[in-house]
Amino acid sequence: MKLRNAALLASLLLIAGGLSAWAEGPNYGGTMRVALASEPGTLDMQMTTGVAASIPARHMFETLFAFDEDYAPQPLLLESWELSEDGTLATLRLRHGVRFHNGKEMTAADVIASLTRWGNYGLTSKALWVHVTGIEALDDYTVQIRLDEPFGPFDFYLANIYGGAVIYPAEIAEAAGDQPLSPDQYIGTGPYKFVEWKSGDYILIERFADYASPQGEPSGYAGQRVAYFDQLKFFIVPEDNARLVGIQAGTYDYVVNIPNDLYPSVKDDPNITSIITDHPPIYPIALLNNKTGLTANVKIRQAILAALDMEPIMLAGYGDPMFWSLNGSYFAPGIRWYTDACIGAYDQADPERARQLAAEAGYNGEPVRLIVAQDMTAQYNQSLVVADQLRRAGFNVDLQVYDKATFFARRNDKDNPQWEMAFSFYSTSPDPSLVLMLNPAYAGWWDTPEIQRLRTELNRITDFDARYAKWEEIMCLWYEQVPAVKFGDAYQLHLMRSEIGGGYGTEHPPMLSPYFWNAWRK
Amino acid sequence: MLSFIARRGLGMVLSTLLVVTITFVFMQLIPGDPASVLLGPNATPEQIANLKATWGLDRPLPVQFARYFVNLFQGNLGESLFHRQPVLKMIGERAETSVFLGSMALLVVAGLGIPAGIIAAIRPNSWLDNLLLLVALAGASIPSFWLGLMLMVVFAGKLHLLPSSGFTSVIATGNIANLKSLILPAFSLGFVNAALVARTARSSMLDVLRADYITTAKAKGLSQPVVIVKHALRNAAIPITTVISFTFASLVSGAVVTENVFALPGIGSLIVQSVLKRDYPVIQGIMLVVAVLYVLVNFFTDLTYAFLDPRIRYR
Repeated sequence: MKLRNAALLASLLLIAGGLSAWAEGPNYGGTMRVALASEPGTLDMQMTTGVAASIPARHMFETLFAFDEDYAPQPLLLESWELSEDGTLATLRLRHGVRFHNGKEMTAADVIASLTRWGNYGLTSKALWVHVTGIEALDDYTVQIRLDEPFGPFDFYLANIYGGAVIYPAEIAEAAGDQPLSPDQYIGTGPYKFVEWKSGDYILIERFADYASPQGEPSGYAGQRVAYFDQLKFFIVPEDNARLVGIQAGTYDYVVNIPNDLYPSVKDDPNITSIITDHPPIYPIALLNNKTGLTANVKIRQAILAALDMEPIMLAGYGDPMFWSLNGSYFAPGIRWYTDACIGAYDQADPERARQLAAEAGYNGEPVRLIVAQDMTAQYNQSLVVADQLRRAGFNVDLQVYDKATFFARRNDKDNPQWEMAFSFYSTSPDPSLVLMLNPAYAGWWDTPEIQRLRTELNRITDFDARYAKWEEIMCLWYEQVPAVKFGDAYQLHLMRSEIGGGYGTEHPPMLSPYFWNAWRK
Repeated sequence: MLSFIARRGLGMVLSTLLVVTITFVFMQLIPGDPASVLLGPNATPEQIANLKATWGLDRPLPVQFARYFVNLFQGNLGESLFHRQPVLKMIGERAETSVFLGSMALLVVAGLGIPAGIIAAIRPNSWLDNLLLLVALAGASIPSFWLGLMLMVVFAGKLHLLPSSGFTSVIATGNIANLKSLILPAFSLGFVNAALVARTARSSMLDVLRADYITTAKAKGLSQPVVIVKHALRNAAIPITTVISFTFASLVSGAVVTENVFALPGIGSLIVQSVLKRDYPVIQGIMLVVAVLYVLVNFFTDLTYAFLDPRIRYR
């Protein structure tokens, strides 16, 4: 009798376990509610590098390549591709049967029109596009791109979505030209299609029934994409506490960028999964004006670097040390481009040496203008500590605080830069060639003959080991010429309801920016 | 009366045009531009200049101003640079939230402020009066955003009684229960102003209650509710009406903060987002609408005086 009861109990437990596993398994349906911290300006990813835009846009628009979990580019809209032996002719074979949200099949004409618009007006196309001498369709599914010289990070550029080469229908790409797309032109090939953007309220996208997914094991942004949710709704919730309370109350399923000091209020909540983006981290950096004024003098830049004690600066910006680490190398440990070459000059905390270098530069009390945006809280907090440390090293500091729009306008004013030091932060670039500070047109305007040469060589080389060696040379030049000051590595905190299964946040380490295909409600 | 309305009408038009002009000039004076915001921090100066030219922002200021005014007199407030939607449509979409929020906050202001003021005035210097004065002082001192956050943490985060943020249209869905989302914001917005109204109602009622005709009414043997409501309150109503009309302005400005705290898609949050993005046509459109509303409220307040006090006549 006892044996029969035990068998019955065991059977019931097995059934219950099975039901629970079934309930937790992939389910179709429902709406994923995501709270963004700011409203995007546009979802036209060719024309913006905004992270807030990329979160909804990544589900609607696709690039030819996508980064896998190791940030290696994998074909996304491509079936395959190859580069000629001399590295100057790329043949891209498109997947058949990929449909746009308007029902039209994607062909070579769409890819050529989109790449041409991106090449002409896209925000991150220049370094590649100056080498493109021709682009043509061999047939409906094959595109050839001809280069005047090898371009090592070719596939990295076409995988990057920030200001990147997303593919639109030809007629839309041609009609839009240099204008950002309007919402009625948001037609892509992604697993979700655009429904509605209610300004200041939400962006709504829904499952695209005819989506043609790439095959293969999901890895990062690459591999198979399954749209389990019927809809994804991205709410605009600028107030940090409203996002936090919203996820605690179950109003949202996923919230981005919660201030680290609010972590204690959620860390023990069984309904919430904390996602700490420690790999890759973000890099808080102060740009230095290499072009004009006081900091055009390399010795002054070296003096500023010598004066800084990084630990209090990171503490001010990111609080609890579990959310940051000290690292002078541009890339974080664990990223394949990390190198400890020449980083001895990082974190000197030596005001006396700073005074000496400033004296050698002939510094005579001229104001050092630090600019920062108050709405970038971590950067603002860091600027206060940096200002104090520079004053202790004898600099006459003028800290100027603006709103973001004014800050960026001032920082990017190449013709008349009115600053010496500008506080910002950067995501991990998948490839060194995408590091913005290497771009001579980028704020800071680092364009010495030495970096010009190294930059060109880095882009020409295709072999990883050779490129890595070149990147080490660049890091050494960085600490010799000090085009900018890196403070350390910082981690961001995102929160997700525990009811969400699969997809982003359940992998480790999480990618730079979240995605919600392959995710479902348990 | 008609000549009063005509003169006030002209004044209203001139005030509105002045607001529009000042807004236009000031928007051009502040640094930052919509093209750099839209393209992001990594855009080159050439890309920014191209986009500004497409929008006509490279033309001389007087030309832009003239063009704006010509469009304005044709009833065209322009198009959002970011959303590529007509400004009037965007304001219309946001108006529902703001109208509901404003009305509910006004209910809180009047519903809490006037009774509290009356009760305090009936029993001056009693413990109830002191308690109400203390609450009113606290109410006037608490920033509405802080109160909003506290209410959100308690009623949404801890007790799960009300939604934490956001608002879904009542009109589009036909679901009146969506107004639940506005209870916390309306309370946090209205409470501060209710305190002001309570203090005004108290002092105004105290003045009236000391008047001879109130003593006469009491001597005639009228009950206290009749004396208070029929004789005292109507005479005390003019200062209260003035304060409530002034609170309209603070509800509009307070809504800017409250809508952002609670992520409400109203006109207040639209103006904040538009200023941060430098979306000039939207900012100008909202300022125009708010200016028109403000002068209209003042105008109707003046007309209400005549209703409340027949001795007031406009020439």
